Amino acid sequence: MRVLHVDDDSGDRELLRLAFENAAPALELEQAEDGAAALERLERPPRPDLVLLDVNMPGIGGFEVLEWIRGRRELTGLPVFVLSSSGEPRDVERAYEAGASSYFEKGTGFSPLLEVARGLQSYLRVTKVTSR
Amino acid sequence: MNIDHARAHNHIVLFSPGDRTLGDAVAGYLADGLAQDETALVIATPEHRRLFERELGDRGVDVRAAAAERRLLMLDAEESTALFMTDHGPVWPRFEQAIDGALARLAPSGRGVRAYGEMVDLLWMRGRKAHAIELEQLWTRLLETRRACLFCAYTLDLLDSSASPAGLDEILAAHSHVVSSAGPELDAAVDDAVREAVGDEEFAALRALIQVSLRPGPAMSWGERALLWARANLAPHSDRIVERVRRRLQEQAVA
Repeated sequence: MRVLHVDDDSGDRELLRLAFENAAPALELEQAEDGAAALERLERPPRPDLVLLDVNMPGIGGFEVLEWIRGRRELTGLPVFVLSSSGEPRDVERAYEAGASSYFEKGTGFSPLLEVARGLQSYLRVTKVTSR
Repeated sequence: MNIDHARAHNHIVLFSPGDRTLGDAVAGYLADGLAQDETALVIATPEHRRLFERELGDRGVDVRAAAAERRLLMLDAEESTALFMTDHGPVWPRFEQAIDGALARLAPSGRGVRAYGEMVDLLWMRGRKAHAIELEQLWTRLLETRRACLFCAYTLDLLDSSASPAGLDEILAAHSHVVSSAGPELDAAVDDAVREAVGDEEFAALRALIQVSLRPGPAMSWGERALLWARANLAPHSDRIVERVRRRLQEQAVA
């Protein structure tokens, strides 16, 4: 089960990689450093099982990536979970309006990321196992 | 059922699966306001107006006297909607004029107005969902500058499969507060249903994930949040989860 993580912050990418290594070893993590790299990756197979998306990125931002994904027929049903440093209600509402499946705040420290990684592993296990 | 947050400028929503819950909630909200010298405006269907009159009477409110003293005004939802609704949606100046006209028919009160409305529900049930949301937004705009709070009710609930999670999200995002029609029993029922659907092994991690997820709109109970999340994201299991929650709540209601 493959997760595509999109985040322009190299420190946050590294923390999430460590969180997945520790708490979600069954998941294969791919990382893209910005919106453009995410679109390029999503253009080619294999399709990830889930996208974990930061929204505040320079260039092609997370909301634009999200809207692009929701406009692509071949990506129909792809879960996109936002993982952002912003917990502002305005950003949360905008993400859901753009088609986010769920929204998480990065929080501070490593343990919130461990919880998200562990939860995503369970989420993909229970949804993918049944649908395959 | 107590309606908290019945204060000026607040915009409250209840998802009510049946008249029993609705009558109890609305009559309690209105009676509480009248007892505090607030005035009350009700815009509802004829059936629901009769229901509220009965329920208010059961709570010791003299409905005829309150109406005669202009402390309580009941209007028809259909006729009221027609005053400002077009094929393209509600029109702000007409809406403002209609509601201000109704508020002006109430006796002056230094304590404010408790309004209850189901025009949005009429639109929603007729499939005019975008217009219902637009009307909610007009209400919110009006409430910013009037000493009034508004209580809306939709005759659907979170277990209603005809209401998509995205549609429910839109309604929720248009309100400042949500009234739960189920108590802590919903929390337990949802936990049990999700655990049964996904298994003990995955349940704890999944529950923690749902717990840290953020949602737009007003704060909700754990059971409501988890149910909406499951309906939106656990597609292979969501029907079973909803069915199990429904069955358990029905069993508890009978017991």
